Amino acid sequence: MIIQTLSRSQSKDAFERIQENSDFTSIDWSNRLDSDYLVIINYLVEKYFELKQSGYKDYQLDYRFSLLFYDYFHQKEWMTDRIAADYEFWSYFALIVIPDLVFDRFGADDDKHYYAKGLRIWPYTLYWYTHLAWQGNVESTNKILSSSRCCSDTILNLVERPGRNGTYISMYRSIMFYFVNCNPTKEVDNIKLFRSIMKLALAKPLVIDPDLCSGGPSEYAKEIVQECVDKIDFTLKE
Amino acid sequence: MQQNKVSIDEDSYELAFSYDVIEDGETKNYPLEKDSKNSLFYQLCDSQGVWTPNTHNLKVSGAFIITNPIGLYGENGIAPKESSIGLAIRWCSGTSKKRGVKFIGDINKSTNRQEIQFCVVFNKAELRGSVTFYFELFINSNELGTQNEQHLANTKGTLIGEDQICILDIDAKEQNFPIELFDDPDSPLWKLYVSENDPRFTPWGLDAVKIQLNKAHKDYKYINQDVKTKFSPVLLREILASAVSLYINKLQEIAKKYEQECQGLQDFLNDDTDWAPGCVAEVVKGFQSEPMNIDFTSPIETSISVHKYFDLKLGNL
Repeated sequence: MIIQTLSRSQSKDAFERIQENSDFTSIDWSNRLDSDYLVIINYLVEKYFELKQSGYKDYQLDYRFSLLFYDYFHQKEWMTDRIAADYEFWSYFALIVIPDLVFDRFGADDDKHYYAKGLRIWPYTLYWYTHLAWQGNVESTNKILSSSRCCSDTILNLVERPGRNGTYISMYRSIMFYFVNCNPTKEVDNIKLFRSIMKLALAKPLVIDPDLCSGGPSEYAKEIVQECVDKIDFTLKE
Repeated sequence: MQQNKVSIDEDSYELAFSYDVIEDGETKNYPLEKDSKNSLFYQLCDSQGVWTPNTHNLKVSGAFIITNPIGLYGENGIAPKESSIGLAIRWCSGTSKKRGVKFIGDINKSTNRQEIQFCVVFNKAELRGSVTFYFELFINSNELGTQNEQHLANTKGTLIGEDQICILDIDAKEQNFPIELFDDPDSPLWKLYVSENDPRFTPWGLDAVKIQLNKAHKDYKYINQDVKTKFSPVLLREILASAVSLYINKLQEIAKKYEQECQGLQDFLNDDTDWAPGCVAEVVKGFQSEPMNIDFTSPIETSISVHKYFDLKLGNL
């Protein structure tokens, strides 16, 4: 597998070409990509349209596709942490490998989903949403992502808050577990609750380190979730 | 009575970087040289030409000398007298989307001088861009403390002090001579771009010169180190050597464009009075000395000396 990337200027050109002509049926994929990428395309296109034909859309489509996407890639020997953090790799993916899927999901008005905003490049988001919620296997992770507490805003708040100094990945995974499994005494606004949890998750490690405290990252995440549930009123307004 | 000052000595140790290679079934450790822009900012260089962040692990090691730690404890210190203060190495990398902490030892309050060694190991292809290292002092017990110590932190994991050790630029090695990848099925495997601007005032970098490698070319796999089964170090060496030789020869031409009286590049580079800092001329002048030792006297001598340099630098790839 040859890892391909697109620089920002190359991405801009590729995006302009998509805006000018988004008829992907005329593309000769085998001329454009080598066989490794063609195998990936065949798998992803099949799975994506299967989900769409089943009637899934918005968050229901995104989380299911994210889980399939991550499960497919993180098993590949060539997929490393270094590649997963490379916006130029994901730009190549969005603009050259699966532009038809990105176009189907978001159209071609907003360049952020293709290359312009790293954290919002759709293939990057798909990979990192499940990566940051991963519970060790597909089944356990599916239980978390399919929870009624999660929605498109959960994706945004989890993936787009990596922290300027890097992400506490194990803590984020535990936060997703305790967020989905918390038991507020009243019905709560899950969007506001999760936003507050993620803000506290960025602020608290400046004082107490998740890896050095009693109970480690898991207990730390549990306390953050509980603190937000107990101390802030997120009950749904009538 | 004046108490001796507490200190965590950062000057008394040398940070060391290394990587492992498995040879004949045995793991051997090789050092990486650090190229330091200042005392906090490091780039790594492997004289063997083997290490890349994609293909090998990275070990960062060093030691702290702590003197008079007793001053850290008690109501005039930063932690309750009966508590324990731990020392950890924290690394943060926004570009890798990762961070981590390694506990390296507790500070022993009963000794006047203590040395704590550390080694942080990163897997191959784990890091991207830059990584910042800190040492952290933290409360490593849940000792509440006496009535006079209630103003002190006492929760395990609370950070009570930190300092930056260094910033490491993992990908700097790949940027020594500007190399850029491009994608064009109709172009050759590699090209050279050279700016015609005055080398004395043009900053060194991708806008001045670049070797462009074509990812869309059918033979790109032979120069891509990630494709281990196809990668040909000889071909990559030849391309780099040819490109640098060509560059020097092109500069001979450019030098005459700006100083018609000069006798060639060597003559052009002699007078460095008005040069802009970090300009092309400054970098190219350095090509003539160690470790490159490139000869500018004629195209043939240039080619011989450039090939010698790359054979030595990348001969073990």
